[in-house]
Amino acid sequence: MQSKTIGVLVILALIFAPQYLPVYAMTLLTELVILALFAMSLDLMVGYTKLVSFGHAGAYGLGAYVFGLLSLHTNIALPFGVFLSAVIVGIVAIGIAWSCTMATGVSFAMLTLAFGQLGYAVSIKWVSVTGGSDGLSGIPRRLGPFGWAMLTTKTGFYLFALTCLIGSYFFCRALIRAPFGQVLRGIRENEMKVFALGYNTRRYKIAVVSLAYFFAGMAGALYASFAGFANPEMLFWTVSGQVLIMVIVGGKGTLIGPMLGAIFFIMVEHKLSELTESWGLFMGIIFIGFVMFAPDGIFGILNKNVSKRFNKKSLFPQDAGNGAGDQQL
Amino acid sequence: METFSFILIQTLNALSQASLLFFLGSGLALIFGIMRVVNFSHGALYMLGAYIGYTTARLTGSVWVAMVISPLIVGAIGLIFELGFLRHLYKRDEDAFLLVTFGLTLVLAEITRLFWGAPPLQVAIPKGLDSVVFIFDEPMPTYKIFLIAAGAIASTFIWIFLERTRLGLLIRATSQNSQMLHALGTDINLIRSGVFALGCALAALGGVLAAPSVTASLGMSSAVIDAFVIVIIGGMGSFLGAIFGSLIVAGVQTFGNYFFPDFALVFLYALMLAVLIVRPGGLLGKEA
Amino acid sequence: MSTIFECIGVGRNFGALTALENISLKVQQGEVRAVIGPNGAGKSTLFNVIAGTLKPSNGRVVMQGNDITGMRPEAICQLGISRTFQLSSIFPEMSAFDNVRLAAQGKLGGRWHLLGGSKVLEQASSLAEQAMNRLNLRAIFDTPAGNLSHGDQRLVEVAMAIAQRPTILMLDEPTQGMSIQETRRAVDTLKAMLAEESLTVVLVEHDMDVVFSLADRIAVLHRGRLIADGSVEEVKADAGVQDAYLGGVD
Repeated sequence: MQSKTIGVLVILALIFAPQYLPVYAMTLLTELVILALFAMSLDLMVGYTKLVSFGHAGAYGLGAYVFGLLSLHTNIALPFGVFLSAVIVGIVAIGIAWSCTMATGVSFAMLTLAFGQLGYAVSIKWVSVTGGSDGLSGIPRRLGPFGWAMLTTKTGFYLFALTCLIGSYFFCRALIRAPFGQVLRGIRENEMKVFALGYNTRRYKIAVVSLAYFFAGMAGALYASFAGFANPEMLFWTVSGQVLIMVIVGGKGTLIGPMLGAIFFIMVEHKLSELTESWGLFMGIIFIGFVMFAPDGIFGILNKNVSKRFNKKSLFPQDAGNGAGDQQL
Repeated sequence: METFSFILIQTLNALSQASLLFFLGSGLALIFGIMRVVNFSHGALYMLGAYIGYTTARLTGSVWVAMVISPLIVGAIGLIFELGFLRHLYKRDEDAFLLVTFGLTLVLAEITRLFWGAPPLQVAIPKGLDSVVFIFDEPMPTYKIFLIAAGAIASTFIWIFLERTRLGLLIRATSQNSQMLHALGTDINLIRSGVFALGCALAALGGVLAAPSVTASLGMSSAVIDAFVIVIIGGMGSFLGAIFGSLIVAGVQTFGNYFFPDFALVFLYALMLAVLIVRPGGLLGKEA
Repeated sequence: MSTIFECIGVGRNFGALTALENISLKVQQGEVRAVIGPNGAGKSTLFNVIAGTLKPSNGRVVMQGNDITGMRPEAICQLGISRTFQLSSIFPEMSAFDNVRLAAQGKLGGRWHLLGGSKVLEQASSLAEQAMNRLNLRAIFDTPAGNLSHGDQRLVEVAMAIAQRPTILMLDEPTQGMSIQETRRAVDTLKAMLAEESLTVVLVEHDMDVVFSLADRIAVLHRGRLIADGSVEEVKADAGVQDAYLGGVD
């Protein structure tokens, strides 16, 4: 059970991080946790159901704005605000998903892009609600329920975000291992056949897209609280591109891979941007490289090499994900 | 009389917009017709065309020269891409192609930003076209009339090329049944690369023609959506369809923009959605 | 034996081409019904009309008294018709077992449940195991379906259809592309399975040996029309059938 031990150790390390990491590292780590959630949400679509989206930033930005508006205009406590924002985004997503799943393949991807850009345009134009191109600022971080002041501190917020990430991860993992997840796998490999086997594949696709948007909205809400603002740039297609890069480079179809991708992305951004202005260029090239030559991403590379040392096919026998290990009985 | 002049003016606006869209969309339609894959970086090439046009115009002092040189350069770049790595992706699933061309878009956007900076760049309208004609007392920029003419001429020229020349016949045949042609000895790869380069050049021409009117900006990459909508409406891979699609999209955008200035985008996407629902293969088209 | 399924005056046109014309046939419960005919006779069209992938231009399809004409494929599947495809259609990266399990799952309730999920998976697993054992596929449980030999893939497809516990099993050229040994093995396996349990089977086949080994009654199509319908002996002796196959060329 190597994977379980690693998992437990990682979680413990993350929980106790505030004790031994300096403040600037904690800020970075908090941002990482939020982005990891964002990336993982996209993996449900891209990795498990082969639904490529170029508009995922729309969900993220919408979550941020909804949370911002809730916090600015009501007294809602932080955890409820985040959760409610995610739910609202999820509900809106049902409509978006219903529209986008009218089409498949490239057309689907283009529709997601269209909706994302639509969100961007709305956020700029609807000045009275969204604050126009300046966005919302000064988003307060309120007390937790029962007056938990803890959440207003940096450490408290970090732990809350971490809880969201870990909780979401286990939820998604359970979903993947449930019958629902098996259907997603089928859709990924041969949608026509799944349909012929009696499944209403469209419904499954709508469900997974809505879920993906739900978690992305959660990430967006967390970010709005973290940074204190929400602006139109969060919905722009380049952000959709960045999260897509995290998923692909990290390793799609694994839930954990995209988190690694988020880490990789932020590290590269921070290190390279010190050296050169053109770090975005390198990121794009790296992305293309991975798509062409390493489609299993960083996770796939690590998994192969570490497993070889332990003489196994994969460290994750129970992962009903990208076929890294297939038994689930 | 006033309504008539209004409609006329708006129609002319729409037609000039349709011209620009035509260059953008026909390129994508041709590429899709031959390769059955959607080149996501099409919008970025359009953008690149505008920027290279800007620099060429500044270096040579003539926008006309830019209109010739820029498509050639971008066409060459497209050719290099195709030969270099897009070619290897045909065998893999369409997702890989989409992702790689998406990556290309990011790369091109970054390169553009690095070379030319973030703020939009103004390209001067060529002398002789920078005046205004009066139609029913309403000013209409001469440049727009020029665009309409350019679009009409180019579309006719390309249509004649596709329908009446031997090479055009080969191209049309390749998009119908490449295997057959291959068996008959035609170099399919040559045709594919050629058409791809042509498609890129068309997009770039659209960009350089658009630049004096809308300024060269980084936001132009998202023009791929417009191109896609045009191709969807007109039928994936149909050249005539691209003309048709450009007219429709331009019409929707122009009149929509006039009556509901903030909702033009919504109309566009609603249109795309409606067409995809009714006919997944586009209105004029072959299978998607 | 009761009629479990029938086509009444089914016709299908593709533009000016009449692919099927006035097909009426009945399928009795528990029998193996073969549909044969030369190329272009309309077998696949008929198959697809029954399974819901095509809508008939006229006529009706009735199953157990219910009119299922023109229903969507996944609804027809839920009603109890499971089918295989002429061109192998499986999930290449999943193991053969997972393939069959996903098929079994399709007919079980509670598929959307998160909490009750493991029970559903167990149920599906046992159905899958049963189906694969009946077809002697124990050995390839864990092999990724894409790596299987063509013959095994075809059998996995049959297992997938069986695991759905269908009322009617429809097999579209199950031995297509199989070598002689694979075909023989497939026929023996199918025969053994049918001996154990009476399933209603509609079978489209080109290979006459397979047909004569498995079928109870045969329907013969030629140019979209039903030219013969009866027991194996009757059809063998039918002059019109001999003509279609051996005499007049299309």
